[in-house]
Amino acid sequence: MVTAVSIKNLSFSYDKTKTRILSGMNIDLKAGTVTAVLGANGVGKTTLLYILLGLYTPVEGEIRFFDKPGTHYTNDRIKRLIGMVSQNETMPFDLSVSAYVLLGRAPHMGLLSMPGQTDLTCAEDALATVGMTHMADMGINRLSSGERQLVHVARTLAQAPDILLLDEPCSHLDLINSRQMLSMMKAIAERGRTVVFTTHDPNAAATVADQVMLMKKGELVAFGKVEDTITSPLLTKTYGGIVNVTHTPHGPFVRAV
Amino acid sequence: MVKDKKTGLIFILTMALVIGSIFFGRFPSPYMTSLSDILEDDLVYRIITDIRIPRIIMAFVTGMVLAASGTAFQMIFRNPLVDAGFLGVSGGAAFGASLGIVLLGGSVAAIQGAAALFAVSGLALSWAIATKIRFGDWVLRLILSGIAVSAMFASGTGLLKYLADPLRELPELTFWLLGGLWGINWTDTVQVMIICLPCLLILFLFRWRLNLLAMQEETIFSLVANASWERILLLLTAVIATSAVVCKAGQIGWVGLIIPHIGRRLTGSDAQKTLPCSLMLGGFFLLFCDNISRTLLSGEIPLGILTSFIGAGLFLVLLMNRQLQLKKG
Repeated sequence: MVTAVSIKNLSFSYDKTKTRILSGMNIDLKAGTVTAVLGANGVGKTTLLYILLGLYTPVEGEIRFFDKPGTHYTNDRIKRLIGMVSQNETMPFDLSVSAYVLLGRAPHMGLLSMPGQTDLTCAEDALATVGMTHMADMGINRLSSGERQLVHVARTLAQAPDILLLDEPCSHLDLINSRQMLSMMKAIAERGRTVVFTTHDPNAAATVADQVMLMKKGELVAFGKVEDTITSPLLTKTYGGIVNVTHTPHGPFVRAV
Repeated sequence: MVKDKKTGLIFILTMALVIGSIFFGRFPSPYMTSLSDILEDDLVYRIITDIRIPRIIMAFVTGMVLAASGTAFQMIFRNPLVDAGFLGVSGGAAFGASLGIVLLGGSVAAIQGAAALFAVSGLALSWAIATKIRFGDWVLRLILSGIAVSAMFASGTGLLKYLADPLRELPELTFWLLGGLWGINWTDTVQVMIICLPCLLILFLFRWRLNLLAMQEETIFSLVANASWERILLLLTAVIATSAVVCKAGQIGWVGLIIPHIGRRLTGSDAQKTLPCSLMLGGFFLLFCDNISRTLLSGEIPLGILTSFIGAGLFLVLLMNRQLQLKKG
């Protein structure tokens, strides 16, 4: 299987003289897999996604995409390679859902082009994938936060990137929508895309992830399959409090004590 | 389709106003000039061709520039309450014009030259200060530095008003600050069009991408390869066009703020549709106000007074009218 993302000895700090936010990180993510990033608040999960996106530059180490260094890709190409849904995205103007999702097509369009039929079709397909076609004409700011989250994902699907970064995609979703989002991530990965998402819910990670990254204070506690990482000792170490993992026929069930 | 019809209707109404404006005036008789007067009276014909038509074009272009710049500023700064007055552009132009009137002899070249110079200086200063601010994202830093630069220019303008000769310079200064298109001729109009039409074309061509620049910083980064370059291009374009019209027409408020709002009400928030609509509406609004300005009374009513009065009234109607729901786009 092709390695989609390869992180070698990655370290990052906002200021070179200050404490490292991330340090000495080494992982390989295979194409077509779902990776969950778990850790307490402020351990650098979002920072890691921003580094993968290229928004932050690491102070040490190298990131390779599909066996080529990040610098190999042109600025235009990298926008078609990696897409991201940030936490709590806002849009000050009330674009319709369809017009908003269409913005995801920007990396595929020329500087002065207007969206064409291909772009419209891609946007419609993306909306259908997240089950929001019936709300295509609604203003995006009139949607509930959960619906808006699905629309953000649709925008990123319209972008058609090889690697999808999702920062806490289930944070605003109810139980059913959360489950739907997780299934969707799995379905996206099955189509060959690589999905990396951060979450505070180890149960969500256990449900959908092919591999789990456990982070603490910018360092990797563990990285591997669900059965190797979603364990009481490792989660207790990761979160700094007692975490119990019960094994059930449906997979591990995690709760803090 | 309905939205396209609305823009089409606005276009037809605007063109009707442009043509109708030729017949509005106070010479040879108040309010209306008949076709026979224009064709038969050589003086009326020359007034129409040498004074009224260039002024109509100037009013229309000025309205389009202020509305398009306002739309661009609001999208780029992700703030529907921003207009060309931000970034110190209008404040700089007002200070420059005041300087031209009070200290540089008051010639047309001095007033317009100083207004243009300080309008661009306002942007440069705002930009330079924004790079020194150590908190907030770049949009917030630019807005904060623009507010500070505008306040400094307002202070300078106040000082020049204080120093101005109360009988000779102060009335001219006050009238300029209130805005108006009196004395506009073909030379002025052509000069403004040479600068503004390419700027309007650039804003029009980038209209869809304005939506992208209104997104959150991280999202823009994930979608746009050279967002900083696009922002700088569009901001400079909007500022250059605004400076060009402000140095000829003086301070004209509210157009850049209210017109994009009305455009969004009519066509939705997608700048691909809002910008063309705002261009038409801006031209219509300023031409309508200028017609009143030059026709209603025997003396000229400063244009800025009318745009502020009518603009603020429209703004209140928009805010309070429950029938006018916010449209998505």
